[in-house]
Amino acid sequence: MRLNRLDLIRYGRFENHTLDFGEAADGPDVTLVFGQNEAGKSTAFSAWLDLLYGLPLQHSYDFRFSRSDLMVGAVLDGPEGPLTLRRTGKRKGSLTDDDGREVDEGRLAALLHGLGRDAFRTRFSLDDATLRRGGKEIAEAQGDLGQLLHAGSSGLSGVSDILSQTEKEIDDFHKKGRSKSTLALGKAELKRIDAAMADAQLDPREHDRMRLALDEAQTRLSAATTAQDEATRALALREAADARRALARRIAEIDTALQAYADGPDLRPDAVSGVRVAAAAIRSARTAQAEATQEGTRAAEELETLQADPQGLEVAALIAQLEAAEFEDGKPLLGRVYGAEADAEKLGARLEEIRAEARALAEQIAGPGADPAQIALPRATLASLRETADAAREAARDRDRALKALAEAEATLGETQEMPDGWQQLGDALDALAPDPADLANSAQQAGEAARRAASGLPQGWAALAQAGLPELAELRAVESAAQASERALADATLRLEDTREQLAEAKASYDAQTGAGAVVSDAAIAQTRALRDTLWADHRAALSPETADSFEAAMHEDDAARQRHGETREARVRLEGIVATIDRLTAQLARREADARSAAEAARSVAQQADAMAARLGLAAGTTPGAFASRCDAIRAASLAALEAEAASKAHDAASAARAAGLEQVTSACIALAGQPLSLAEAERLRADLEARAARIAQQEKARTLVADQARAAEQLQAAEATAQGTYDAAVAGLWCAGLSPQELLAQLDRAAELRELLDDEKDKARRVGLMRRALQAFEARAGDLRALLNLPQASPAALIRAGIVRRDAAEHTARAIAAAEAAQRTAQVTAEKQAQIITHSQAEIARLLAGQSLPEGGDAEAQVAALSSRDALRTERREAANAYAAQAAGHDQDRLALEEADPDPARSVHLADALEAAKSDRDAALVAQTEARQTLSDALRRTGAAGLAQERASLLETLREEARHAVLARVGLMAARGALSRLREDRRGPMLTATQAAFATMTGGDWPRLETRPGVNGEQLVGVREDRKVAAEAMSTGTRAQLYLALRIAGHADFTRRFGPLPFVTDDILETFDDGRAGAALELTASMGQLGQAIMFTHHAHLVTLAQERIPGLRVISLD
Amino acid sequence: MKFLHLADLHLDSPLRAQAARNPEMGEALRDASRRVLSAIVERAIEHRVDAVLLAGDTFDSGVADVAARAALAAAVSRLAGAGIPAVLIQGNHDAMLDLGRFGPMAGLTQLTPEAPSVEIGEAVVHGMGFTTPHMRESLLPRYPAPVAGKFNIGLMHSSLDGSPGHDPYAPCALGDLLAHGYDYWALGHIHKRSEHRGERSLAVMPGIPQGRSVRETEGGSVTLVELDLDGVRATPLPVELLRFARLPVALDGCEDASARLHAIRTALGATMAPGVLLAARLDLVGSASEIGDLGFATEQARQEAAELDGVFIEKVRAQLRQGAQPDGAAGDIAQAMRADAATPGFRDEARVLLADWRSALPRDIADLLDEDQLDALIDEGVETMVLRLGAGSET
Repeated sequence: MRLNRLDLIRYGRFENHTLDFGEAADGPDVTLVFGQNEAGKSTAFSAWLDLLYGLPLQHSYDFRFSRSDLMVGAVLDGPEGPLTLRRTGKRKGSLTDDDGREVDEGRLAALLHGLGRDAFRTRFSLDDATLRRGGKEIAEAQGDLGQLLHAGSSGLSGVSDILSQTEKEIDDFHKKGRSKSTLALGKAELKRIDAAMADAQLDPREHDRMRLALDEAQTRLSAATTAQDEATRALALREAADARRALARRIAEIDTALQAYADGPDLRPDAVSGVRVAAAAIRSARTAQAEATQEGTRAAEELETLQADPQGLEVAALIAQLEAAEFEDGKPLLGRVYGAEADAEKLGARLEEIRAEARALAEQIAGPGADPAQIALPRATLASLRETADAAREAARDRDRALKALAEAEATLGETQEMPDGWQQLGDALDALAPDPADLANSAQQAGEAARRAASGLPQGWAALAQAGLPELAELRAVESAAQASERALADATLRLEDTREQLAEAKASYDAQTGAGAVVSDAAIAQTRALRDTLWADHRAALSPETADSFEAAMHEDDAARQRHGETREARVRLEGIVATIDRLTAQLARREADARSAAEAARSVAQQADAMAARLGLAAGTTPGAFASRCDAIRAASLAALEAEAASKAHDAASAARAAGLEQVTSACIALAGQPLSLAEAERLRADLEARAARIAQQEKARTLVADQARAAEQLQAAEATAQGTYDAAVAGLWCAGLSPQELLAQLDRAAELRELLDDEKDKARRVGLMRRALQAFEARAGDLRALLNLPQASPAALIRAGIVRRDAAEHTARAIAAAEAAQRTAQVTAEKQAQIITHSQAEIARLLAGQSLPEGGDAEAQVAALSSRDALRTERREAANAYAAQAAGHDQDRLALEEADPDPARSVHLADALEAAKSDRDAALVAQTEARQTLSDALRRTGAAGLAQERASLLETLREEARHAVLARVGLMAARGALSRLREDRRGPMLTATQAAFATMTGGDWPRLETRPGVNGEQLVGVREDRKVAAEAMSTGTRAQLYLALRIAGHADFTRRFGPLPFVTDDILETFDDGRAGAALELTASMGQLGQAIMFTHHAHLVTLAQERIPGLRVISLD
Repeated sequence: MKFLHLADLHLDSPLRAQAARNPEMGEALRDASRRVLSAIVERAIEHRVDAVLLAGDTFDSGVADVAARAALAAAVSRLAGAGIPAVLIQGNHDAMLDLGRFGPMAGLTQLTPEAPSVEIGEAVVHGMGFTTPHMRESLLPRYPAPVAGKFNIGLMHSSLDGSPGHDPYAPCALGDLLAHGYDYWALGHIHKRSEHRGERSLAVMPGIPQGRSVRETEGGSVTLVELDLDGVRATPLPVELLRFARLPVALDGCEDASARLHAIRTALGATMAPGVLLAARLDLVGSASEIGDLGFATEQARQEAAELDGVFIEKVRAQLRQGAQPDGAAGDIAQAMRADAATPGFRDEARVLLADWRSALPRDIADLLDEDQLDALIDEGVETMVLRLGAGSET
């Protein structure tokens, strides 16, 4: 493919700009596009890619034209001749020819040999940054030939980065021997969780133990509560007895005290307060009596100083009449009068101005001499006129638009088409056709093989085991765990027993060693020699013979010797006693440990029996280690599942085959009905596609006809509406000054008419207000004659007259009020003095009544007397209460025990009973705590989540490990494939590409690097360059040389692609700016050689490169963007 | 009359979700099955049902610990307090459970072959649970005949005619079931919800109330059953805390990261439901350049999920769109990788690799690398690397 022309129709800052690359000529097909920075080189390259692959949804060149308006065009030269294309931003059908007809994207895909956008860009364009990245890639790939050839041919870089990163990710997840890998850490975490789960699960037996502990604690609490109740009762009895003794003493004391008080009945409840109130009333009345006499005297003196004003009170009456007077509109007259004199004059002048303005406006609307009153229409009439004029104008516009749209739609309709009968049956038959059952046959066969594989290692009858029910994983773990625990326990018990036996044997041996040699003399031994000596002494005293003397002497010596040795072996004797004690302790320990060992052996046998039973459920021999149970259980479960899947797959295949055959028959019937003969499936599909396309076209046409009919009906309705609106308008203006004006003309005058209406309304309002003011002043003067005469102010303004009257009125009224107040005070003082005398007499009588019957001396202080009597009555009350309390203390107690306690005044007994109660309470509290703890323990156990939380943690961790393991394995497989692929590339391409790269590299370096060779590397062959007969690894070359090597690889890759698939335009963007002129010239010559294979386009902003290129490349075409 | 029908609660069975490792989500999902049970009790009380029907696999195993039993006892007690009895049969998972181990639960009736019926108001509920984990024969012939003049409800744990992904347990033909004469069949065992209506009978598989992994995406509810003279009606009532979803995300035309993010956001937004957490597996479908680096896309998806309330990304998978691999100058390295992966030598090497890794994995997940997965793992491993190398953009 070749690019003949690129049209930037609307793209970036360009509009209708063309880059013409012309026809391919003899010689190198190279075009150099020159333009300063920002001239649009990047824009042109982006437009080229968009033309080929479509506009991205987010676009960076839509700043002048919106994305939907962007358009790029091109003329391409392909195997079938020139192809003119346009590309727009539409989501569908964005590729068209220059007449706007949609072009199949497949045409472009074929020209591009299937390359996607990214692949095309990386393979067939090159800029300075890519060149530098390529050089870096050579270093990172450590010269790996496969990677370099791949980079050269694909233009992709970063393969080594990706491969090493992938390797690292895999190793981070899992690598043998790495303890910190994700998998290793995850497995350790799983182990921790499994251990925690075993602790967290609440076993039913543990539950029973907790239940029993709670029952026992409740029993103990009940007993402690009973003991506490008894101690409480004993102490209460003692406290009642103590209280009764104290009460009896207090009653005797009160009886003695009462003898000092006066006789008489108990005071009435209100006596104390009554006497005090009466005494206070007498004192207060006497004080008030004196104050009233003094106030009467003061009031008489004030009356003598005051003088009344009767004429001022007449003025007050006249002012009140004026204030109450109302104007004709019902409002206060004085309010209308104040300020009316000045306002009436100003308002009259403004009224005349408004009338002149109205006349001028009326003449503007209807011509000279027009009467404003006739031109100004009511507001409702004006609004109605505006509405009808608007409606008439809009109706005319709608009618015109509808008629135009109808004419356009009618012009687009075409001829009518029809569908053949029965065409839909073909589509239904094809849709209902079941898929080819060949895959299901394979699946069934594979499932059968999988089932046989799964069952291959299992014993006969495994299916029956599965049918009977396989144990749960938890059961297997429990048995395994119990077996391990019992084995450990038995081993521990045996070890401890043997240990004890050995210690006992050692102790006995030590004992024998200490005692066997006779080295130690015990207390018993010297007691024995002393007894023998004493016996023989007695025999000798009786016989006094030489024989008895000898016998005695020998016994005496032996006793002496024994005692001497006894003294000398004191420490050894102490050691021996320790050994004996040790032997006793170890003997007892041996008995216990023998019992423990027997118990452990019994427990191990029991667990082994359980394991054997479990082994039988799994088809394993008795004695099989429980560690093998889980894998056997998994194997049986997997085999069972595989068998079921095989059966299901076989059934599915049979059903699919039958459905397929039936479906094919229906398709054949439909084909015969439509085409007159049976068709293959592919032919039937094509027939259906054709029929469906035709049906779609017919449906579209029918839809268009329906729309045109709808538009015609709408146009008729709008014409009728316009006629109605015009009639309404004509009726509205008939008889008015505007009759004869069109709706548009009337709408132009309506604003002035409204303004005139406003002026006339204002004139009317102001005339009314001036009349009101003048009538108010006349009404005031008709009423104010008497007031002007009384105050002697005939010329004063209404406001001044009213102010003077108010001053006179206020002074007269103040004096009248002072005289009345003094007279009232005089009368009040006299009444008060008489009333206080009555209060004194009444209070004295009340005191006498309250103390009647008491033996009291005459003339005493009544308040002191009643206080003493009150104290007496308080003692009497206390005595009654003490007696009642004394009796009450006996309630609820055994009377005999109470009497005994009362008779025993020993204070130590009360303390003793209190201590006993505290001890009982303490015991009950402890029992209550124990019961609460037991209940709480059980409750916590029941309420806790068990192992659910840990199980969740475990499941989540496993899910994470599963996903990461899957990711890592996929990566490992992918890595294997990538390495294999690079090796293949190396083998496939090494010959021609290496030769082409060597030639390009030698040219570009001016012969400094004449040869490229290979040598063995880490993952395969490694590329080396030869300079001055010295070999230099590719990664060891300088940065600039590596970039040149990369360019040489790309040139070789381009040649390889062109050789295999055909030419495509290759675009470079300022890749030579870092090259010196010599090397740039060499690179340009290489570009010319690329131009011999296909089209090469170079973008640059360096003017000197243009000159250089023209020198080096014959027939170079130059396009300027500036 | 109204009943609340549920099955396959799998009390205390954990969620196989990475989401639970997220601290916030983990807290929200703690004791998920117990919270769902509590929500079910609330629904029963709210709708004033006449009874709650549990159609098997209430527990996940036959040796449920006391705490799990206590959770059920508490729920039954709340129901009893509201005057609602519960009726239960055992399924294949909890067939061996001795439910009376700690004494009878007041308000709970367990139907067995010996006592297969209980009368509740105008209805009779019939049922019998599993007595062994593997019941290979149909239980239907042992179910009592319908009682005349009563609404008859059958409680059964069965795989029916068989269902993909479920073992055949107490298999039973659907037609036989609907012809038995009961008004309603309250079924259990299959975790995907389904309804089957006969001429005068309705059978409902209510699905698992709380899906436990991304492989269980079609449950999440219990079923409200209404029986009256107009017939029988069933309405699903959502109770799930967390919804698992597999979301295909079409990346057509997504040329850059922001367009891809928009597509992911749209897919998540369309699936979110108020008050329900979401754990999603995203299947990105597009060309290699549209998918881009899968690790980056995964991180993008996780960050987007973090912006949304209650959304977690379980997994992200990539899938080349059908037709995205035209003939022609397909990527050299991609072609070479596919060719190499098809050789016997490569397969042998991969088989050894799988065996090696399988022995290193915890037993619970070793099935991931079973030998029958070899072909699929090779295909996906190669395609994943093709994507990663960017070579896929050449195809």
